[in-house]
Amino acid sequence: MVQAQLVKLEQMTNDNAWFYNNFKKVQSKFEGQFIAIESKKIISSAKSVDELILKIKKMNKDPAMLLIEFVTPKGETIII
Amino acid sequence: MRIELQIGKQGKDLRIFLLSFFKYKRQSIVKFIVDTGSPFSLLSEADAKRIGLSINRSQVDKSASGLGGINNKVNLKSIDKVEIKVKSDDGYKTFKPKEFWLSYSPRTNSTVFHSLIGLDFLNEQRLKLVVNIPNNEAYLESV
Repeated sequence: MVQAQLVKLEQMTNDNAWFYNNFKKVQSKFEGQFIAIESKKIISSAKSVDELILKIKKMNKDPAMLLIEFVTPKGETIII
Repeated sequence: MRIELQIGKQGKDLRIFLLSFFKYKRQSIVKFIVDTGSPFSLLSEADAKRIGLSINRSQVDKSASGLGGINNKVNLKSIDKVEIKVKSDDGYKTFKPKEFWLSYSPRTNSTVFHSLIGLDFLNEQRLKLVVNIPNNEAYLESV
């Protein structure tokens, strides 16, 4: 179990780094959308989180174990 | 004990992330933004939906506003028995925060997206935050 968690955490770390390293490319195609990333690939996208979760479930994948990101539109900044 | 954080950049936006295994009712992976502007630690509505938790907008323990320095109101519901497991230089470290909050918009057409690790967590877990953006370095360290 611990080993599986370690692998998943490493994968998430790599996917997160991949997203930020490739942000401009991702933004040009998916700006304003939610995306799901797995193994450095965008496996699904949608205009809302709810829609994306449904799509992921239809792919027989567990959304709880995937990295989901919002791709900010060009020229927009999100302030927390 | 040291926990490495990730620095992410979206255009001009910089964020500092804590990647974790999060347990509340079930296991999931959650990416938290480390936010020293937040007094509370929050699981976002988007992450809650991803995990499969139901959102009941009529259940409100308290409200918060001022997200991003503007008057965006969000509702907070206390959640308990939360576990956050992270990778550290000692192996795994599991935190069991006394307080944790589920945050969601009072409106159904809006979604709180970011989960946050706030000052309450850093204080309770006795962690200092070290950030060196020019060197692309950020970590938490026990004090």
